[in-house]
Amino acid sequence: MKHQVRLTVNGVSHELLVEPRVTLLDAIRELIGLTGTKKGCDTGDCGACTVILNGKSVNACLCLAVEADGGEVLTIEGLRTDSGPDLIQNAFIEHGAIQCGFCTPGMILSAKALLENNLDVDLDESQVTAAISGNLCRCTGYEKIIQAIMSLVQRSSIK
Amino acid sequence: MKSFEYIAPKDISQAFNSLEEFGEESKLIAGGTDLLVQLKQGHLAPKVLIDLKKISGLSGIRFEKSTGLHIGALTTVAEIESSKIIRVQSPVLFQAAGLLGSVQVRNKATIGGNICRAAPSGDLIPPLLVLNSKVIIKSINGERVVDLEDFFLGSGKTTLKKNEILTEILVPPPKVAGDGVYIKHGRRKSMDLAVVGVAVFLSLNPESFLCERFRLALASVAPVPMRAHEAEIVLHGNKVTESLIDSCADAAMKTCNPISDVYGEEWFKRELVKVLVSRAIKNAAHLQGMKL
Repeated sequence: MKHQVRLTVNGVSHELLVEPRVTLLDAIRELIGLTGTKKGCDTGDCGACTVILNGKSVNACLCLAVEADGGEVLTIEGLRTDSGPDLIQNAFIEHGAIQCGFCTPGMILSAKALLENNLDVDLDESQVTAAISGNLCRCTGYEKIIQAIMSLVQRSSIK
Repeated sequence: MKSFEYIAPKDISQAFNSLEEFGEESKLIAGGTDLLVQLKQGHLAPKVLIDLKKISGLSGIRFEKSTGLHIGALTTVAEIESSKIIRVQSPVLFQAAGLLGSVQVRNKATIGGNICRAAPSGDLIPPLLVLNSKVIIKSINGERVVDLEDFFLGSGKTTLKKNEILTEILVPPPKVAGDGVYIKHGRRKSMDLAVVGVAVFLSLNPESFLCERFRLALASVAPVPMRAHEAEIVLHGNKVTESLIDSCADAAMKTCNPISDVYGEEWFKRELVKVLVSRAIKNAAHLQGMKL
């Protein structure tokens, strides 16, 4: 039996009719049509499908759409501002932290979750590394990614 | 993934009714971070998933002086990791929570799920074992309290009956003050299962450094996370010395029962047990103010 599921994705409300076995990832990609969220391993190891669900980063492949009913989802498409890419996206561009780009949406959302949940904490590099440990970069471009996130940590600590 | 029905009961009695109705054909889902992988890989194919997340009162952390820590089964690993109560009352559990999976997994995975999955490598289990934890299990017929040590029957197997739900984890207040340490050895620093996990709880007499309490639990070296009683008695009641720690670590490596697999050969895991048990005891002794 299909279930009616209400999801707010990037501020837009969606009513979906889904089978229980449809993951949040497939709902976002196939039903809502937002393909910025990537499907890598589909078993929660690579983090390419990372989205922010009700304020917390999760692997969208390890969440059923029916479980997320009523939830608020932020995907990479929701970060863009009227004036272009947001702060984190810009930092990734500035630091050359994007190679093939497949891990980038998940990396950026993990970075966003880290920064937003630690507004009053002086994060060090080991915390940044730990925060993206669930996001694999097959280009192994970790150094630049860490530098990009650290630049934001430093920027927010100046504020 | 094969198709299944999905039910999200609003309260626990509805959940019991669903369990009654669908029995063996159903599976409970908490965080789902492990279950969904098993469904995708075809290891499990239930007809009905019963989601416990909509039931209020199954998550949360509270501490009472007389009874200790009460952790709702649906409490996420991230909530444990960020709980001040846990950090103060059970630092060893706090330590293990931060070593489980990734941030994304910890945000969804639950303590009850980690226990009921009964994986030999479950990260939260060895700390809970050395803290003498109990689990509260409810069914339509009432409630029973089981020592966590007696809860596991084998890899993936527990004493939980089909009509029961594990609702709470109880960590009684320690009879004497002590320190716990969890050490996990993985093939990589994060996002991996424990090749070997070692948890200790140690209480030393502050003057004589006689060992008043010592509990040791091991992960990934037996079908289920295990207490190493034979190694515990080596330290019990004795003055802790380097050589006694060596004998204890030796007893631990002999009492465990690892298998050779992709994570390592049996002999290697035994060696790891020896090294990590010794290290964990020394770290705990250090926390107790003893220099070795």
